[in-house]
Amino acid sequence: MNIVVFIKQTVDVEQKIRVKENGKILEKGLGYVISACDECAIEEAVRIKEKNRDASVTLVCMGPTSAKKTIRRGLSLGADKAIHLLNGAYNSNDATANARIFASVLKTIPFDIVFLGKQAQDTDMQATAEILSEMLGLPMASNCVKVDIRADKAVVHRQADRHLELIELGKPCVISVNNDINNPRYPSLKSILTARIKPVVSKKPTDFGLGEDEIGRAGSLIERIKYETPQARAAGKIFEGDAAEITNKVIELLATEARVIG
Amino acid sequence: MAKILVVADMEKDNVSKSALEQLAFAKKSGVPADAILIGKGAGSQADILAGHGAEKVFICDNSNVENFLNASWSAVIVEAQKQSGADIILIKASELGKALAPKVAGKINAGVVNDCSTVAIDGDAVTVTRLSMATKVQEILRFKSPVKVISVKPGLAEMDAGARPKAAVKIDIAAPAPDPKNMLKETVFKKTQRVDLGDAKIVVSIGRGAEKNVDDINRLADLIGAAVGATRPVIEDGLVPYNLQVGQTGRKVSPDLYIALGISGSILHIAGMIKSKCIVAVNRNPQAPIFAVADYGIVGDVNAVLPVLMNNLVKYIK
Ligand SMILES: Cc1cc2nc3c(=O)[nH]c(=O)nc-3n(C[C@H](O)[C@H](O)[C@H](O)COP(=O)(O)OP(=O)(O)OC[C@H]3O[C@@H](n4cnc5c(N)ncnc54)[C@H](O)[C@@H]3O)c2cc1C
Repeated sequence: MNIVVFIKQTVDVEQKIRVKENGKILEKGLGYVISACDECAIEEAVRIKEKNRDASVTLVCMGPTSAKKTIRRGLSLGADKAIHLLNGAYNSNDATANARIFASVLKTIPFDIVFLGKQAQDTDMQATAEILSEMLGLPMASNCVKVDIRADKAVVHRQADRHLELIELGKPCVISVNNDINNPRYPSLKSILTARIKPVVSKKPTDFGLGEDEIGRAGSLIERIKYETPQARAAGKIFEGDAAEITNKVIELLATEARVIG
Repeated sequence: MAKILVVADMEKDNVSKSALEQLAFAKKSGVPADAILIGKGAGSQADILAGHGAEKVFICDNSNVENFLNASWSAVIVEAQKQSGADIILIKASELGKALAPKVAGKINAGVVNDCSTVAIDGDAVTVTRLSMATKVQEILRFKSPVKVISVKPGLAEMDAGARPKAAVKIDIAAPAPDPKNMLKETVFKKTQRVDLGDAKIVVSIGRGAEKNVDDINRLADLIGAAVGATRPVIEDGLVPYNLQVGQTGRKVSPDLYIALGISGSILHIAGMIKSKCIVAVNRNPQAPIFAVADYGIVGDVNAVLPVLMNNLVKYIK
């Protein structure tokens, strides 16, 4: 069984993020991490592999040279090998261009299950996995919190707004996972060391038969005009003192000032 | 000339409020709109959509569509879009909607943007704004594709509360046959009579500092007709079901009033509630980051504050 996991290196959103006057992100000094849902996708794939001796896990990561760090991290979690898609100048893909590139990669390697994170932690968009499944004409489920791989199908639990859906997908299929699906392991020193010698091949997004106009900005259907700093919330009123007194004060203000109750 | 197709969904037995907001948005933007309503009993709601301005109402009232939401819904929406000729498809940015929008877009090679807070239509040009990077930045995006699929947050426009139902121009759309490779086997609802997080006017949210008070907080929510939310650690501890997680990877809510009890205010939580109209935070640590986004902060112990809320907040709830 071949499992392919698409992973992304993203800016760490827990740090301070500044928008420059030209509408771009100030990148100097920013730290990068593996996108949280993607890390869970690797963990899920590795758990499946641990239960199926014949299974192999291939990571595909599109990103700059520095994304090597994320790839090694993924391999240290237990994946077997990786493809590094060096995006170079093609770094302004929208979800459609991303999905097109991923689909072209999947036409060249064997797979039974494709995992992606539900959303990338930088864009919070959620679209690549869904579009990819449409391009390949494969069954898919989004936002899964449980995955059970059987001989001929995948049985997944998909978290919806008010309910959980139990879905059966014929193989091959595409599954996007929520970060609630598992807690990724901490790699041992030994697995970090063996990750260094696992095979990683570097490729260009155009190596899989796509034309230059099908990827990057030219191949994207969405274009970012700019980033802005969101309007900050007005400073609030913070009360200290006798709990009953200040709580009653706040209740009163909710009715008379904020007018959200009463 | 732009034309909108509103993808309406049902909330219990009625068409959802966000669909009506989207129709109000179309009217405000001076753009004609059709609507598509999918689900059991959908036919009975067509006149409401017409009353709110839908020129044509496409209906897929068939239990087959329940069989697998995304696979069959996206096919139905694509069919409606073809017949309508609309170039802008609006969908509610719920968990289902955010999965559905890119499926629709992928089928017709349309551009897609999820979770938009605003949409601006100027002739054929469509720009949207949305928060990204756990709400730390806002981005402004432009579509380059002829057809645009947009999932929007609640509150896109004020719905017309005075609209009366009107005889609709109804067009039936057949549901595709269920795909055996993509089958919804079972839907599991958590047993709760409570209002859903996404629709609630008030949300009471439980953090690790209020884990011992879960029963009382549930009671408070019932007293004031609120929904209950929680932070990730509280969910992980199994005290509250998964679908009530508020945050970057959980639900994104924007109620009139969000009461955060014993929540520190991690950006990964704030990303799910920053759009609330009014935020009240209760935390015993005056330095807790949650106070930076609170409209009203109560520096105090949840154990002392909660009984006062239970006794006195309810007096203001009609
Ligand atoms: C990939 C990833 C995704 C995540 N996604 C989410 C998400 O979607 N949503 C989410 O919520 N979290 C998410 N998290 C977790 C997040 O980083 C924080 O750990 C979490 O939000 C903290 O929850 P908390 O505020 O309940 O707990 P804590 O940070 O432990 O805060 C508890 C607070 O309660 C206060 N307190 C304690 N006792 C009392 C008392 N008796 N009275 C009053 N105050 C008291 C303390 O002062 C403290 O401020 C995610 C984490 C990761 C790694």
